[in-house]
Amino acid sequence: MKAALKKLEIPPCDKCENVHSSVFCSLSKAELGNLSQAKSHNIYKKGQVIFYEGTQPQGLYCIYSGKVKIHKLGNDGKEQIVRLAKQGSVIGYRALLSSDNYYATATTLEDTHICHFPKAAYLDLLMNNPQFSMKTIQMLSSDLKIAEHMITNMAQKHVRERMAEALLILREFFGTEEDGMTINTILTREDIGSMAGTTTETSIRVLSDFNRNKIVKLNGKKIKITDQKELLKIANLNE
Amino acid sequence: MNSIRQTSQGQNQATCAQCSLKKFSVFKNCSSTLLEEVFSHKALVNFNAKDKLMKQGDSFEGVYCIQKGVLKITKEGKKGKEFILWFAKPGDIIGLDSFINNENYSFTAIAIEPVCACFIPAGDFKYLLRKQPSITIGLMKDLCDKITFIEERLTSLSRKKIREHFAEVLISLAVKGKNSSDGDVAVSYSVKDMANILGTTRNYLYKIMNEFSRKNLIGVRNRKVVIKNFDKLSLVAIGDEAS
Repeated sequence: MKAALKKLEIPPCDKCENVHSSVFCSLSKAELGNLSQAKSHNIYKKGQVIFYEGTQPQGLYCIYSGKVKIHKLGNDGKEQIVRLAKQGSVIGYRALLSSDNYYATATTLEDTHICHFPKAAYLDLLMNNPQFSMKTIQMLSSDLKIAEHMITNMAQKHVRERMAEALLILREFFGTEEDGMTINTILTREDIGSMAGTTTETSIRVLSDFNRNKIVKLNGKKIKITDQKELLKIANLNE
Repeated sequence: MNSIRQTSQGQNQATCAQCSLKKFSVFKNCSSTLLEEVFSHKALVNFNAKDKLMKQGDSFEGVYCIQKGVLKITKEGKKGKEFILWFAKPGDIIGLDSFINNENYSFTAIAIEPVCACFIPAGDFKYLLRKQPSITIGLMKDLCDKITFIEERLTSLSRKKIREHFAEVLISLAVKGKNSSDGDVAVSYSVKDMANILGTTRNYLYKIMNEFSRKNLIGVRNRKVVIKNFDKLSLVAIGDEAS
């Protein structure tokens, strides 16, 4: 790997600090040991693609540290972010389950350490551990819920509402800096736009409009939410 | 919900073994005897068009296995506006995700034609899962397909052209109104309102309306939009218009 990247010592699965919050929490020590034996690990720089939509999956990716966006290509070549993933989550499992090609592309948002499990090891677990497969189903259905929520929003909410919600989701996902208001990420305007399902131009326009109304404070790529109440009101969240 | 559930014992003869849809459903790998044993409480239920099989937010009682007819699965969005997620057809099982997450129904299912469905209580389904864990693979596949379908739509919707969006809005407004889908359906919304919904200008909307009326999809009568060709308009809405 590149020398500029800090290499991390990746612990075996049973010592991994993410294991309890991931799908693998129901596995026994022996099963985790087997997984560790099979896995390999890799470092991706910010902006690198982990897998491409339409290619064949070779295994399962589990994020050890860092953040990843999952996005699809629309018919006109514009991207739509369908999900975000951070440490402890597995990505690319849906293509494995239905033995299909990848449905979306995964790109890193920051330097990311990722473990890779071969297909056979994963499917083996799925067949032999009912608890694990139940966990997987739950993960799937929560993904479904997110997708349903997003599509309903997309169809019924205005761009402003969607942008406000995207900001709130980002804050929830990435967390904030010490001041508790600045979103702890450096996403591009394009990324935020493709989360809210709009163009880069509109994304910029809406954000600077928010800035003018003192709802958020823009500082380069950093976004500080100054008036959360107003933002919530604009987002029109009724759940 | 119980009030509209009319069990017709007479037709309850069809067992899972005889069901022609079994091989298409998630139960295809289960033996018929097992299904008979496990689904001892299942009941065949008939619904009329526009009946609700389940309502978003109702507590989970069980899943429906569709035998006959088509349903729309909708979600209530902002201000009670409905949005159609997908259509369920015979062989589909609805309510699975609520079962998995152990929560209230996450959507409303409304029959759009007379529907005949087997109701399987939650307990029976849980029992099956214990008896035959391999069914989870089928469930996974089912969920995967749904996610793929929705994400696919999400990607196209976010880039949807205004005219496609407009067609969809017209349809949803028409279906929401009490008029049935046959014959001309009038949508009593001002152009300004509709432009607002779509996030576009009135001028542009007029242009699209002109185009639609040239193709005889819609007409304007008494300053109301009238849908003339429902089927074609729905094709436009899903971006599947044969040009």
